[in-house]
Amino acid sequence: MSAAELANRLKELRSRHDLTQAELAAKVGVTRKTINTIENRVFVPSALLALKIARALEVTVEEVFILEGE
Amino acid sequence: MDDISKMLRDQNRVMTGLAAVFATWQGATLAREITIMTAPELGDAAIRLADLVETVGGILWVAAMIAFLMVARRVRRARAQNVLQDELYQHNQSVAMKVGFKAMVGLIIVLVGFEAFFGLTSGIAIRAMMLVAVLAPLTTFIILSRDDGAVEA
Repeated sequence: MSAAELANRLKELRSRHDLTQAELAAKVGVTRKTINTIENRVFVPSALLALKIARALEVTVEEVFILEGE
Repeated sequence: MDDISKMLRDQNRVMTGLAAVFATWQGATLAREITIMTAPELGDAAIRLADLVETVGGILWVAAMIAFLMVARRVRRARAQNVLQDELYQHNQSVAMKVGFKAMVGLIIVLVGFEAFFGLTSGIAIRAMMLVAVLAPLTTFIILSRDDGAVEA
């Protein structure tokens, strides 16, 4: 899957929880750059990382990641 | 900047240093080999200069390796390996290896062409391969791992 196909609401959900990229990264156990590249649709995370991000934001994966065109 | 970002930045700086020193060190050796083959009239002075750059490059390489080990030790002490070597790191590593492989194939095609028309010594071919094999993946990885500190709203 290319990054262009996977939209996300990371920025919006982070703001809702008042989290910076670095804080979310620390919660999930990755670098800030990883969160940044996911948010900017440069990098597609694995299912495991997507689940961890969703859990950290207290939402389901489908609420964070959306297939483009849906 | 948080500790993880600082470690990532330091790691990238050391890797950039390693790449630059390796290019200088092995580049000087390759330049000497090429000078001996193509322009022997340049004489001892050019070869001595290449020897000097090679020696300094070798010393700097050892220093850069020590710096690399120090950063690695700092990462280990902070138990930050898993964070630093996350999914993006592994993805970048895989892309860098693919670029390195393609660069090596490209170099071999160029070397075969050169060999057919000009003749090459094995020393030149080996040095060129060493340079490309190390620098192509390392440089790619450094570029991909660059943290531009993008603004996060």
